[in-house]
Amino acid sequence: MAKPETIAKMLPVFHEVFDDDTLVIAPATSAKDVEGWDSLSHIRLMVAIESAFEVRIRASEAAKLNNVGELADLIERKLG
Amino acid sequence: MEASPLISSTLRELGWIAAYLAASLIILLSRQSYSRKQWLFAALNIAGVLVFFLSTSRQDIFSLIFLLAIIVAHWGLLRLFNASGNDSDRIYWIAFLFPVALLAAFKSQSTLHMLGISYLTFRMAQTVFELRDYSGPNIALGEYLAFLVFPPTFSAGPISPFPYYRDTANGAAVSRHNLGYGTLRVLVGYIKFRFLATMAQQLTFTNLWSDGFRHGYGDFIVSGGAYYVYLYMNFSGYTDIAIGVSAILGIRVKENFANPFLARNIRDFWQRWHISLTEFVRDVVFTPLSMTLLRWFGNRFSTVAIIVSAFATFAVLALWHGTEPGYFIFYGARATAFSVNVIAENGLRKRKLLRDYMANRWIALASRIITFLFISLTFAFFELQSWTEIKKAFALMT
Repeated sequence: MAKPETIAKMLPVFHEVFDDDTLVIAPATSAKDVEGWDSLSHIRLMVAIESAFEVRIRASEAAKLNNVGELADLIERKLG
Repeated sequence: MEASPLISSTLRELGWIAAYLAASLIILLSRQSYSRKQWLFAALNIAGVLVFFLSTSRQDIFSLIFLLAIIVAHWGLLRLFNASGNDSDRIYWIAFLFPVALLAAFKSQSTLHMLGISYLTFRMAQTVFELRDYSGPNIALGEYLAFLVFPPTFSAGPISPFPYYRDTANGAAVSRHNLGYGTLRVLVGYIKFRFLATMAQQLTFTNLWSDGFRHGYGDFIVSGGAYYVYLYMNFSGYTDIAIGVSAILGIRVKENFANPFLARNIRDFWQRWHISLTEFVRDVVFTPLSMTLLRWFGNRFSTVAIIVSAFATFAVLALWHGTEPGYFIFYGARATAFSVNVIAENGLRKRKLLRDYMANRWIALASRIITFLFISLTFAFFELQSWTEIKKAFALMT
């Protein structure tokens, strides 16, 4: 289960990528809940997350993520 | 009265399919261990590939032996990758590029032909890609053979992920519902593949334009559209048969088409047409390349990065089909349309107009018609392929 502080740190990244400061995210938030979250913006999101957390996400890992919680779990695994 | 050759051959094929299904069900529903079932299923599938796609000629037997040797060699690489904890980048790339290099070698010469080599090598490469983040048990050789030479998907896909196969190739999902669903899917597939495709093919360049008459400009789109419909009926019909046969066995296979005629733009089209191949090249070419370019140049150049990646991905698809100019015109046009769509949607999104644009049903209808016409036009070049045929077609137009 992802830590709340990880998700809190992800929020400004989502605001920037989706150009929406009112966006709220939770572990269950997925692409269908966020306007404009398609395959192309997903790529931009992954690179922005890499920069914010100083981790490297593989394309194969990015392809299998289903929601914000799984992304947060992935970040925490990479941070060790 | 004798049955037509088309009906006779269809009934013969259905007979062989029924025999294959019966033998498969005996194996999958037996009380054997999973491992032994997979070895038996592999042996049956090898025999099935011989019956359905090859012959007992010396050349075809050698081809099959060569294919099996490739699979065993690749399985060896997978075991090495497993031994590294699915973690070694060096072994990953060797295992991934081995089938890709093999495919490139086959495509670059015209002497040796091997049915199924394209899809086989893509399935092998995809398995390596999947394994990197897969936490299931290591793949056994019998299982890998059974998966890769599974007759329904052997010659033309879908490029279905290994986990789909492993999770369902144990007889557990064989049921009356799946038997009914699968049978219906096979029958629908045959109607599309054998009959509707043949009807549409009458209006394609190959048939309509060999009538000795000149043709109007409108006929160019008509023949392109007919080829689009023919290709859809042929390919999706074949996919329906493959998925239907698999469903009867309780084996899950990835879907390949999702109403492509309803696509409202090229991006939407690529999510509806030959989905298994599109997702494969998206995951192994487009996404890694886009992410690399974004890392180098930053999010400010994200649109440029996406467009460059799109052109590179479509170039790979063109090369996969061959080196004829028609394929490059076809995919070049698609890449251009994709790029225009990305730029347009970015612009609409910035102006907060995208939601209204997507919700407007008149815009949706117009988009679908324009997309259908564009795809028909570009498919014309896909059918014509060479400069000779393209010039011949233009010369016949008044």
